[in-house]
Amino acid sequence: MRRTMHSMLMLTAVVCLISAIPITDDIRQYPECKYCGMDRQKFGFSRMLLRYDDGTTVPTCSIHCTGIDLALNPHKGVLVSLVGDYNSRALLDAEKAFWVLGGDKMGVMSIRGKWAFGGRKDAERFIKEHGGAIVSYDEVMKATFEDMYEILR
Amino acid sequence: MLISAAPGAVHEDIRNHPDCLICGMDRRQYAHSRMLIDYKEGPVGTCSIHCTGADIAVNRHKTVRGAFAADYAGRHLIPAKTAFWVIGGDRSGVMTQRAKWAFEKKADAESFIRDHGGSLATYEDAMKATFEDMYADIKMVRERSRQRKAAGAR
Repeated sequence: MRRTMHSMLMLTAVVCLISAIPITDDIRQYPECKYCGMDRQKFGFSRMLLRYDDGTTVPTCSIHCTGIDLALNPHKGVLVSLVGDYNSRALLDAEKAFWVLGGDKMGVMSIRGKWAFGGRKDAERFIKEHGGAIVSYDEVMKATFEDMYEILR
Repeated sequence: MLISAAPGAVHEDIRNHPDCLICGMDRRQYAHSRMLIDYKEGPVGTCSIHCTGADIAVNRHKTVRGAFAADYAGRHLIPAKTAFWVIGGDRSGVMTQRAKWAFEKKADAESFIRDHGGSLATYEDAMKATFEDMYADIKMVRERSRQRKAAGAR
């Protein structure tokens, strides 16, 4: 019992440590998308960074390539999923971001745009100028896979 | 090379590809839902249409010559495009909450629907449904894995 408790505490400590590592320069560290090889500096406004509970980090150019990684690793637990703010390019928690689905701006690796904003007002300003609708992370991820099918068929 | 209806073909593809390339599941255990993707670059074995969708999505640069699915009734491989697919029903799906099964004969698919529910579909319908369900299914698999790991740590 004590050994189990100790193991659990150690695991929690490792998870907290991994989560706490600041991500200040992910583009320098991971310049290219793991899947399509696209330049994450150029696509800083749509790039993402996944951290799994096994300690692996996956840099991508977009939610499309993040979806591919999730599909290939269904058994891994996601510690955190980060996305570039469309305006500032700062990394945000993808689950808490205000996502805009659609609009007149062509998406990255996808025809239908999927953009993340840290603030609701920024998302609403984008919609006013370009169209689209605010959706949750689950909804935008579902749309990512639906669009993936359209590309593949 | 992929002899869909030949005796022994079932065992051959499982012997050559015992585990699903995507999730690692045993293709013998999931012989009733397994698939085989015939890429020009070499075949890939999966446990289900879910993992087939994932593999095709990541290998867009590869040429798909064809895809084969197990006949739910007989377990032999049949061309996925000409199969009669059933989406849904009361039987637990493989890597998915909404099951997708392939049948060589329409009568078998209809018989399954009478016994277990679901609706008749084409391969295109089943693949579309696979991508519609993909994220919810990934989350389901992830949660099951988390529960298994937690139970193992106890």
